Amino acid sequence: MNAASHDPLSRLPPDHIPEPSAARMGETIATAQQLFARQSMRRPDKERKRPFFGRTWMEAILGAGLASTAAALAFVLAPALISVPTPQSEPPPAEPYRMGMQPNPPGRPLDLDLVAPLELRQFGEVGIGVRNAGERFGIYVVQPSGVEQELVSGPKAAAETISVTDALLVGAEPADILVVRSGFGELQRWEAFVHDGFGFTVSAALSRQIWDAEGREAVLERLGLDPGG
Amino acid sequence: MDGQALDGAALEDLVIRAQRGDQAAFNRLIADQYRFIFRVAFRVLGHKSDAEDVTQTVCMRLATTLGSFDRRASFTSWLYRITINAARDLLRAQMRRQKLADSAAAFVADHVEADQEAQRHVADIWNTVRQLPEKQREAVILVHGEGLSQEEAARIMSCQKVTVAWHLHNARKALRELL
Repeated sequence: MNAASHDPLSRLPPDHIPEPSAARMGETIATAQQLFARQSMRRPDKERKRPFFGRTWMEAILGAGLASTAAALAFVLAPALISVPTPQSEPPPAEPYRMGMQPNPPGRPLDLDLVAPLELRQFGEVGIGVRNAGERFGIYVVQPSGVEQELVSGPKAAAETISVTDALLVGAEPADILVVRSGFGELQRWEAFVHDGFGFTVSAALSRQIWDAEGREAVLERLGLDPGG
Repeated sequence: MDGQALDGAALEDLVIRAQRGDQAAFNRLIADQYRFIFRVAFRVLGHKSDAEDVTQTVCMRLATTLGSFDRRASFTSWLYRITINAARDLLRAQMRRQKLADSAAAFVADHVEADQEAQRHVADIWNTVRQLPEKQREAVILVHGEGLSQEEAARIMSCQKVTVAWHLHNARKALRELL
């Protein structure tokens, strides 16, 4: 059989690949870049752990086995070096701590308000605060009384400082909408938060509409609200 | 976004820098690879909007899981794999929503855009390819659509080269009946 002349795969024409939508491409790329900025510091943590645990389960098991063997040998060969254990009934030596303060669980960082000052910015009647603490950030709406409500928080690169560059509270039906523009450097985006009766909750749908708006007027226009009102 | 593809070494360097948390490197990487992801997704799905949905999924996945790429394969192979997997997930979800018996006929009618009319014949052929069983379809797309070697396709599909050849053989037989 003459395979070449009857091979349908050898006669496949080039597929026609359409041009992707420029708007969708821009939005997806910008969103991924922002997401990376907020996620990036999780990866080095994993990489730092990797050499300790080994690259494979087998290496980890072998490593643990060697450590156990070394500990057993130390116990048998040098009993004099092993200190007498403290009776269980005695409390461990106390370290200074504040009343009511819970020990921080391993791996869980302190709350941002304990480690970073609030940088408050006023946009008309709207007070928006931001905290930058090393690899984390938080953005808050701050009432005139000083009460804070967290709007959004997450990881960031240690070298980056998240800032809030504009905010606006819009009276709308059925609920008030708070729009906030934040980011770092040229990577700024609007996010929308809807008041649910108790506080502001991020609205993914509205944020998607306004994320790359030029300014307040464009935000209001995209939300179908009157810029003059 | 300028469409100028990076060469292999420059791409791998960019990936390493992005894995270390270099924002500028990631920005360049995602802008550079968007069209690649879209192209591969379109080859599997044959529909622009679906391909853009998959591209978005893959871009978000890159932002969150680039650190899990262990560089045992090339970045391009890894990206092929996660894009094809994402496209496959979308196809399966779509298949669950519509009856399989209707999908083949509806696929061509619904998914060929107006500006593709002049290339309907080409679209028909590739839409026929997209109706092949999953592994056959992926082997044809990678080897004959993307122009990869069977060895490269085997790495992406996590199988032996001989298995890729077997899928291509079966695809040939099926296409002879269908085309």
